[in-house]
Amino acid sequence: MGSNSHLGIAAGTSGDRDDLEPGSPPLVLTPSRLPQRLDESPSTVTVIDRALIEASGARRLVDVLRLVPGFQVGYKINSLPTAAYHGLNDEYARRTLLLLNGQRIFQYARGVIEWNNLPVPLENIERIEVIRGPAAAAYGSNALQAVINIQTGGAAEYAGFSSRITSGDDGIADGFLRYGGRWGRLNYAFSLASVGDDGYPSIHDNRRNTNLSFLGDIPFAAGGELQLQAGFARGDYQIQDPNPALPTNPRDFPVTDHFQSLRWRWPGAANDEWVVTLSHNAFHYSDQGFTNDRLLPGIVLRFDYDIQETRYEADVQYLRRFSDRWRATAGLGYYHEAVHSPRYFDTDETLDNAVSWLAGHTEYRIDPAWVVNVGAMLEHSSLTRSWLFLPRISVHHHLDGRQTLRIAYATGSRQPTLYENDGRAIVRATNAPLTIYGVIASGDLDPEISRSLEVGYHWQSGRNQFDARLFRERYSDYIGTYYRPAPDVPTMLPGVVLDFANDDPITVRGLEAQWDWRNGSGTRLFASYALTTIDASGTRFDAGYQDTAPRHGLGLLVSQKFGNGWQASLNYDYQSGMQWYRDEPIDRYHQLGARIAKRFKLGSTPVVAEVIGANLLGPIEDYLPDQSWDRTLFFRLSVDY
Amino acid sequence: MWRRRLGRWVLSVCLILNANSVAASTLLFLTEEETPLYQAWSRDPHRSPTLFFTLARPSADVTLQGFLSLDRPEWPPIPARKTQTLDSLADLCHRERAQVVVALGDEAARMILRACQLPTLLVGMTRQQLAPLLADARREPVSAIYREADPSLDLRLARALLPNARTVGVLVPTPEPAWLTPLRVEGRRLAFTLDEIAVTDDLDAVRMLRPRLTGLDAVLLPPDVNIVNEWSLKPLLLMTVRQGVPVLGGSTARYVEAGVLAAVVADERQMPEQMRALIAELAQGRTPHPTYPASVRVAINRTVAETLGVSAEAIHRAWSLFSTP
Repeated sequence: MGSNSHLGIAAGTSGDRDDLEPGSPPLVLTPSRLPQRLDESPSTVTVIDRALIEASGARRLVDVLRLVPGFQVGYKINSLPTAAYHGLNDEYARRTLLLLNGQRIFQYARGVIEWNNLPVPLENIERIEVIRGPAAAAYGSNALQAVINIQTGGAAEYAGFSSRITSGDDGIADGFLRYGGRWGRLNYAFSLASVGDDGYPSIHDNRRNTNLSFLGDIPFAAGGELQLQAGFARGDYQIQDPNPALPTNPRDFPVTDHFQSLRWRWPGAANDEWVVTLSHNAFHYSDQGFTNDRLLPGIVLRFDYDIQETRYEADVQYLRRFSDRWRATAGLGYYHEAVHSPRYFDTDETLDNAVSWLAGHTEYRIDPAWVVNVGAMLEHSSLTRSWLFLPRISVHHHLDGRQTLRIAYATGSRQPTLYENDGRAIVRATNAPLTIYGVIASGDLDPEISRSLEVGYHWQSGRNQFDARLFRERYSDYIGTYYRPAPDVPTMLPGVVLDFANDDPITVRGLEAQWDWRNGSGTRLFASYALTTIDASGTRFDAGYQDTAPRHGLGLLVSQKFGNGWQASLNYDYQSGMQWYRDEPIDRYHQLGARIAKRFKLGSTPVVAEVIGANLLGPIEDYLPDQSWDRTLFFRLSVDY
Repeated sequence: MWRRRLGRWVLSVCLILNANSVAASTLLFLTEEETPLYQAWSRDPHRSPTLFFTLARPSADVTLQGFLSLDRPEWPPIPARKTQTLDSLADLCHRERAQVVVALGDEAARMILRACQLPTLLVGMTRQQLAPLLADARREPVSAIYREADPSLDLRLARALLPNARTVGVLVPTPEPAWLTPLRVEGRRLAFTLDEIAVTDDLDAVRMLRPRLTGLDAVLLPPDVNIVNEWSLKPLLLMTVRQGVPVLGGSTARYVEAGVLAAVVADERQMPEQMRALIAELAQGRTPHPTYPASVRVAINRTVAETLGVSAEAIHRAWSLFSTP
């Protein structure tokens, strides 16, 4: 737990915003909601900092995840990129939980992460902590395969004006403005960002994502602070179904996301802290669809994809350091999610789900060489009317000051989405009493559960780190899709509708390693490797599970600072062939990106000019065959006032 | 005249030979808070406190405390006396005929300079804080020991800790402070490129440093509370620690405790000796130049050093650079 000095460096204690303590060894905040040393964390974590984000040349956050061992990133359509860990996913990667400063912004009803339309600009992201493996003991549902915690800086860090413009091939045209200041005790920062491009060549899939965000904090004289966050994001998309056989029309539509949160941190008098958080987010996918009068003679069919979701969430956490050996946190929370979509649920009613949870975690240092973490969550969902007990335990042994061995057992869970449990996707005729069904969910799904066992080795010297682990994950009640006969209703596909059901266990095994190294001469190297195998031999559905993750994945980023403000970086990633869940197989690919940056001053104004190239080894296909990203070159200019 | 000169010479020799020797017969100490330095003087075995007092300043919501001290130890010791509450500092100065006043801290200094027409030594304030006070014309001699060590020493420390560092960002207050010229000279000598970042206040410091960080190998904090203070230190340290840029400097070791990698700071244990010498000069009617602390030490935050990968060898080099025999 952080010390409070008269100088006001009060470290945060909960796993939320980037409150890392300046006087600490490398810490991670996400795995247990306690700030912990990386080599004593109960979960394996990849940390991507601002320098790596910049060096990668990424324009979209999701692309940064290509560096993380075991992750796959793909674009089925330009408006809906996806990132998955250890396969088993489609474009709705609902087995990964996304947090913004510790608060969930995952869209529950369909299980979507709107990577393009996050209510925070990439320029405000200082650090991303990725828990590789289940972490339901701390976060409950959807922390099934991985947890990604995006951390912004504090409002006070963004004092002044910042701006950035980007332009290049593929219609790339981005802009960013930020202003931060101080008003009385309130530190604030407003950001406005707009990012757009033309997507895949020759497909009607241009996009423009615009977001306005606010960060604020009010420190209290007696300690603690009030943190405020708000964001509004709007995506203007073009869409054209990649399958030309489908009766869809190219069209344009907007998607909007709102996010607001209020967090009160109150340090107690006994090495303890209370954190109370209230948050709300809302999502509106406003695709009004199209009409079609050619499928059925004399019938005009209305395809409508509009869907609205809201979530209200409240939680209370208590953190305490009982001694130098023993720290603990406990919390309870509640969130309520509601969705409204006549097209996906065949009702004008709003459907909802309420989740309550109670969680605790303790870290105990037996002696300087041995550390034990134990945590668990008890969660109840109104949708499945089930109680889940989700434990985690890890034991860490420091071989010396730099090397640590660990063994960890963790569980993950995923409640079925409302669509999987209650979905009834329909198309209605506008000139006749006709409803055609595409999806009819039978319901009564059980939550997916994952159980993971890993053995790991961690080496750490200053900011240089190496981590390797062998793991085995077993997924029970995997929720898969299948077509079932539906003789009683008109159907989109002849005689069948899509349904969801729990499948038999799937086992994922593998080896992962990552290396983050830098020297005193401005060199930074980040390398990752993953070997993944999926055993789905006993499953009910023949869904090609075993191919949903590449057997080999490699990421490499090298960055070098030169004199006179020059900097260059190269990033490379390789992925062997794979097949996204229930889609066409794609071949292996090699991707090379490069970035050259020059810092200089215009008068006293700092300026950074960059040239960035992506896919330099040729087009790559990352989701569908014959749908590839071309070589791209773009320029970026950043100015701070 | 020759007798007076001889007397001063003898006094100086005595001060050199006996660090605990008496500087003035009656001293008045005033402080805002009970610092270790204040406590050391109040328990000085070679002096006898004769009066403890408190003085409330409702207008500033501040309570000052102090004591009068004679230059000889009483034997048997003077029994402990109750602390008196004063209405007026001026009355005390006039009544007790102190020879030299020692003010510890900003509020005490302002109070003394306003209320007492006596030779005064100011301690516990930065050079930047002292400048306007010393600039005020006053008949009686006033001298000072700055709270911070000479900022040039921080550059020497940076070279010892970070042998590969080339560019050091320096937050430079406006108007240009007096320490900047010797810092530039020291920077050239140590083969540093100083990136001077002109800033007007704490907000400006955060604003200006952020875009510069990528090009810096280290950052030097100025000993200026208008620039680096309770508000700005947190964002400054957070943004630098994230990018792995070491931060050095600050006016006291408490900055190092808060997350600054290292600083050369005043060695407060040795401070009374330097104070005695200045008190002796003030008692003689001379006005010694305000000065940096004569004895310094290195403060290093070992966890930050570990985080930044600073080697044990470099830390040892830094210690030995400023170790006093």
